[in-house]
Amino acid sequence: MTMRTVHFKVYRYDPDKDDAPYMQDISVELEASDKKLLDALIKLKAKDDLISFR
Amino acid sequence: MSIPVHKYDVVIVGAGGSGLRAALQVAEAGLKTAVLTKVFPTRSHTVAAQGGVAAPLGNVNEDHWMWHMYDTVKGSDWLGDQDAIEFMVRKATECVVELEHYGMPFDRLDNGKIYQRPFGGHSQNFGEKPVNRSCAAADRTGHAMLHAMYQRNVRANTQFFVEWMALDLIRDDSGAVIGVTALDMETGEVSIFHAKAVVFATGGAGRIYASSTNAFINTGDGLGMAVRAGIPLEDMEFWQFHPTGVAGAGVLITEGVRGEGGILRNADGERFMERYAPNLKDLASRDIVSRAMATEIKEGRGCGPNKDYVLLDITHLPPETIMKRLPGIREIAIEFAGVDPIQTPIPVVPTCHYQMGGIPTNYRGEVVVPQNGNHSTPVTGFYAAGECACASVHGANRLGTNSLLDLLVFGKSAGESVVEAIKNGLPLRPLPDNAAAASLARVKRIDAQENGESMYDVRAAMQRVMQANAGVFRFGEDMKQGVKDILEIAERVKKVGIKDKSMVFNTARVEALELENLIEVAKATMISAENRKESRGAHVRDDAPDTPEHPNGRDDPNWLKHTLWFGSDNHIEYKPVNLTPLTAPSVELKTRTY
Repeated sequence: MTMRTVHFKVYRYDPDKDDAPYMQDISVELEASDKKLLDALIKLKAKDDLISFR
Repeated sequence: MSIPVHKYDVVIVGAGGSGLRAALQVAEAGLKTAVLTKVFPTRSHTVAAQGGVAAPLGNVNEDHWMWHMYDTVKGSDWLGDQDAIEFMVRKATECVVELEHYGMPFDRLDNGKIYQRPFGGHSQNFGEKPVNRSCAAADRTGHAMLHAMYQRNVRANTQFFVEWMALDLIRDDSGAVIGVTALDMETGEVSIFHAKAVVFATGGAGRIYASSTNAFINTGDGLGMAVRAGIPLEDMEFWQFHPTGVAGAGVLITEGVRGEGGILRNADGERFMERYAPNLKDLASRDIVSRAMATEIKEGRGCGPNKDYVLLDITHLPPETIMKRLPGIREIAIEFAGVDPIQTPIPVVPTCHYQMGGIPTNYRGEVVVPQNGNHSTPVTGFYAAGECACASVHGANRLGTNSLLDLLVFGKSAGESVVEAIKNGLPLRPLPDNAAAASLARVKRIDAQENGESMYDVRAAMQRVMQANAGVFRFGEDMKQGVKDILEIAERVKKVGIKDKSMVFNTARVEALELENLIEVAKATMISAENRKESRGAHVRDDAPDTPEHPNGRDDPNWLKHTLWFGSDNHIEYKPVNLTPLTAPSVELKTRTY
């Protein structure tokens, strides 16, 4: 299975802690079967569960 | 700490097909009704149902409820309860006509009647030849159904609590169910929903497997809640692997594709189903087709560079038929398989799809448990319908389109039972002081856990164990190992921690709570599977092979019985299969061939 590293810039804001939004750099390894942005989001969240999406 | 308490006549957990149908029944009867749902109602997993809902309308060719009943009993490999099956098939026409009156946009025949297509295992005249029994709205039947029923519920003043996750059942000292605790995902606050009756319509738990056609929300929340409240789970060893998930992606391709004339081919281009099911061929029951595909792949006749899938071919169908009857399928094939099925066959593999077992109920939608020598004593105030429930109409293997029928018929039936019970005086019982203690302790444990196990690692480990040891073909030694592994993973679940400690939309916390439900389902499945020492329907093991004495490996003298798994100590009890229908003659035991 061919893996590829994809770099993301994530716009972050936690209203409980942050004064203002900021950008976070984070990269994940994606497999050939990861076809959609959702696949990447799930892997991003597994790396950093402070990321939230719905 | 004081917790908000919401008082209702009826609380329904889940807003898919069965939840919406049950809600409609109680709300239209004038009862104050709350529906709790993790996602907006029309995003519930019923939305993904494609091919249709079964009803013997006979709009295309002759049909009869007794043929439908026979097919369902045979499909279940005789593990289905024949009273519940007769009830379901005899209510089918009424429920489909009702839906039509709610505004469901069914496809039409030229004469204006509801369009019906053939589906796997559905036949005319007790197995003779395929019948058009599946009432369809293109390949988006579940989508159309949810929208029709949601709008009808808005009209009936059903109150929806959207993005609320139910956490635990509340039972009083007598054992009666009197409500649930629930988490408002937006604020992170826990509330109590206090009610005369609770209906679970929480769907399946396909997410216990690594590869599944199920949505991410299908985490068996109702099953987890039931287990923690001391309710056993029935027949959890039986999981349906749908023959046609897109290879590598798991997205479902409806059996309706084969109903419209699609053919499965191996690497030699051979229509291999002719060898496995000479009569119904590609439209044999799902367990049969999935096993045939797995056998072709195992014996080296798979397609692609790794020979790990087979092809679903509709290139011989007129493009107009594909565009009109299967537009969503074409879209899925292009998006997820990178092929346009008008020109190129779709790569498919058997993929975990549906949970035949669940919370034990009768055909009235009442949850039933063994008590004082009666194996099916109703639990006061507790009802369940749809995939989370086990009535049992699907037994060891479900027929396609019987799931949408199940959720209509038993959603309605559970609703009717609730209305009747409340009319007969089912009271709002007093709430114990500690009603939310268990739920608050669970949330607090997750929030307080420092340096715990990664939720994602533990969940992935569980999914790998299930995929490897409880798949299409099962092996005695693997299942023993699977039980050991899953019990170890269950210990790790207790130590899961998350970094996110916030209140607002803390989805990590929601997923950690979901994992506590998933692991109960995984344990139930692995232990029940290891325990059942025969092959039947979707449960086929190497040490129970096809022999003259036990055709297909089925062992009726010893195993024609339902499994009941108890979560408190993992012990198993049994209850008999009901072979006596309500009015029809019994469908007698015989060897299952298509």
